[in-house]
Amino acid sequence: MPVLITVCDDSMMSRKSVMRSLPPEWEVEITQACNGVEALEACYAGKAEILFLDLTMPVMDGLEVLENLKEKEANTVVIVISADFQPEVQARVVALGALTFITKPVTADRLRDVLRAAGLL
Amino acid sequence: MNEMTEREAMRRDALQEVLNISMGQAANNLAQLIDTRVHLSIPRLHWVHSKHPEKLNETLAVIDAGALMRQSFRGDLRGEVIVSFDEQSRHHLLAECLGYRASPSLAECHELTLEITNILAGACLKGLAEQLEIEIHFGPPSILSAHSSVTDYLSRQPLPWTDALFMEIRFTVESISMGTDLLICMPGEYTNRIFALIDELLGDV
Repeated sequence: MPVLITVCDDSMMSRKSVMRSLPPEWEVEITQACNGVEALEACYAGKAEILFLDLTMPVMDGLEVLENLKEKEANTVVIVISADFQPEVQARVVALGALTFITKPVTADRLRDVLRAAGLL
Repeated sequence: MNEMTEREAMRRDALQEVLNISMGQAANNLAQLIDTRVHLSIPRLHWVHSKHPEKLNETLAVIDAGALMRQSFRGDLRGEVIVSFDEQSRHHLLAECLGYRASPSLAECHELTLEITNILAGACLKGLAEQLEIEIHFGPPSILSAHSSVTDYLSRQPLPWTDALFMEIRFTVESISMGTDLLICMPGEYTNRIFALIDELLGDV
């Protein structure tokens, strides 16, 4: 069974960069989302066992997504990938239930390390 | 979407993302300095013709007059960063954060805004250079105007370009009511260069 993944970022280049950085041996089914609303739709449609989530986005930002998922006690594992890596932001996303935080630009090695550390690989 | 428009959209998206990553570093540097969270806007791109700089008002996030600073850059890319500080920014709170006395003089306020300009523009240009794997050198910041809007300033100057790309990011610090608009202004002749670099980056993704 493939792992259901949603990659949410308003930047197409950034989504591609995340998807290219996923371990090639990992069997996944990927859904793309351009903003927080689409990410939540994917989560509640059962398409996001793991959500890679940007923070600064139009329509609905990543922090609002995390707040919603926490409020609904969703089972989605969230890995935040953002250029905004201020300590206060990192603390906030972890408090809202994100598994971890990766600073952009993402690399395959960094992503693999994070997935291994979380026992997801 | 036809092929050309799709390509342009990809380039625009990629440049905005490169700016987003650069500005993240700039925001983090400022946040560490003032020990509070800095909010970032989504980067926006504006093309401006020298005959109609006032049209920038139609698309800029903030058009009010404020203190205007500039920092020029050269190297593989050339242009200048213009930083506009909102008039209502409470400089005394910023001053306290940076260790100045509680009621800074006008000269100290200018010094503060120059320092913030240097931090934001420096981090942003460094981020651009690193991601595009190029060299950019930048000079010291200077004051363009103590009270002017960006478009008013541009309208009063003989502009050394026919058209230019303005890349805009807004930084806000709610706790001290600080609003700052950062614009990277790049003359048209250098936009071909930056988009060629973006194409190389897209080829790697």
